[in-house]
Amino acid sequence: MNAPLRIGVVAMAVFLSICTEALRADNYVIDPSHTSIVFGINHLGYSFTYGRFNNVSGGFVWNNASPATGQFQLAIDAASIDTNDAKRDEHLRGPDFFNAKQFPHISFQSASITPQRNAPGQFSVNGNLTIHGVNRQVSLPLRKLGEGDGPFGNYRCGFLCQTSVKRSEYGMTSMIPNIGDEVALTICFEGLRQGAPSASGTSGASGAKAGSAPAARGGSGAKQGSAGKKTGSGSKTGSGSKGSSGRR
Amino acid sequence: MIEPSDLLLGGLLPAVAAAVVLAFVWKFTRHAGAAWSASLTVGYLAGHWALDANTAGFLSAVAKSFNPHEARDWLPLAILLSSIPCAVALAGKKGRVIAWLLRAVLCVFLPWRLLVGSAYLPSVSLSKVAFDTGAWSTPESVAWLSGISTALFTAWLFAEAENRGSVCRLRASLATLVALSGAVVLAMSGSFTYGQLLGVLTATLAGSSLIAIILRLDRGPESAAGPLVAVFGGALVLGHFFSELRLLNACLLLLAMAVAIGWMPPKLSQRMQVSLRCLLCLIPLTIAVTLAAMEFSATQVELESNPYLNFRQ
Repeated sequence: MNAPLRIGVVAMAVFLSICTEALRADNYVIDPSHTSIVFGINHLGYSFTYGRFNNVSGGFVWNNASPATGQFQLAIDAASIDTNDAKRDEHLRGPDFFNAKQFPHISFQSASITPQRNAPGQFSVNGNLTIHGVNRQVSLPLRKLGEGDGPFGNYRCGFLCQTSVKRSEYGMTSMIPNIGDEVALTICFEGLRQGAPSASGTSGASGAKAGSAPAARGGSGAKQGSAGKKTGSGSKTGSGSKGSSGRR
Repeated sequence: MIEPSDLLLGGLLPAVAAAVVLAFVWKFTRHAGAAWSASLTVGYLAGHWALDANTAGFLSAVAKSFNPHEARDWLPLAILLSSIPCAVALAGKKGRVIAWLLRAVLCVFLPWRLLVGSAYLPSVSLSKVAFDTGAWSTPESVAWLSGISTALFTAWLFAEAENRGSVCRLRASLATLVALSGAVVLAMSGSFTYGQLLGVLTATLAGSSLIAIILRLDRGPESAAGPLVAVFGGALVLGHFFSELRLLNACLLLLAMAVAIGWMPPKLSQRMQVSLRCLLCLIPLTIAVTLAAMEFSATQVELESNPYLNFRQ
């Protein structure tokens, strides 16, 4: 085989493997035991109250070689809210706040993912966030924390999202401003890979981490003294977004 | 937490609006039924929209009633629809038959509309999510909706059957008291929002009743049974299914309202009718308020027993 032909064959093989790799993506199911949805909200300007949602489900599709093709879906059981105070939780589930019996789920469905330039492992995820039956297009900052084999042989991939939302934009206007309008959110989730691994899934190698994983902050999405401001990078939730109330 | 603006927008405004409309309609029509229906409808709508306008603007508040998002947003439309049978009933015997059919349809439509899309009667998309939201099975749905519809229709029927010419002061006063008690019970049962709605109804009834007594109308709020059942019954449905209002308390409150404005045996003397009405209204009302208060105070005791409350270093 002469040299040009050999070069052409090698080039074609490389091109095909890149295309194939780009097309393959791994499906992940969210592991609820290693997923935390934590929020913080200002109380009377004197303190921040933190809480969490205990029930979450969802999944994502991820391709390391082509992050823009990824997809994320998340569903949170609104009635699983937990602020370590049973009566307050009951009130929060009620019509004055989440109205969990009427709007049982908080959900997010991604539409597109944009990698951040000059910030490897960080992305903007655009999609529809539905809270209290109100659907808004949002752009959430997402950071990939790492991926690799778990202790029982299952392959895992984890992300962190820290942002803030204004509850009034979702129709929850009760007791503003005594209870803050801006809510800081920290969503940290792990997914368990489903099915056979693709080439892109193992390209990171077992135990490889993308960037440095931040220390666990647990609900410190809002810093003290900065009334509910979001932490982390990325665009504000709801910026340039259009809201549309979900019809019943 | 009740703000001065809540008292103004949800109390004074609907009371004044209802009073003005009742006086105006009575003056020009001399028809007590039309006056009561119009005053309750306008008074309630004024208060409901004023409270919503506090956060969203008046036009948005009105628009929300015609493009409802939450279940409570359906109540303004419900009160408007409930006025239609009253108008149709004026068109002779055939009109009265059609009016009763419309009442039955509304009593079926209202609870269904309030609950559809919620955890009890989920939409298709909701039912696909993995969480157990406590959705009803088909027999449960039929049973619940039938029961609620029957209760609302019975209350409406009972109210419409009231004899004319009897003292309206007592019925108006009792109806206002029942609405106020309902507001308190709802607020103590975990929903200040729904308590506010019945607060608006209370103010509306108070304004209308005051003018009706001054003008010596011979008919009371039973002549606006439709709007009253729609709002009061609707609020109780919301309170039970979306808040923590107990079913027993909801039934007692609905019973109290039906007796407050409803039919009494005409053979009884006026004094006996008054006594019986008061007894049958105030007993269930007292039970409902007492049960709600006991539960509410029990939660307050839990808070005070927190050993860390007075922690000192």
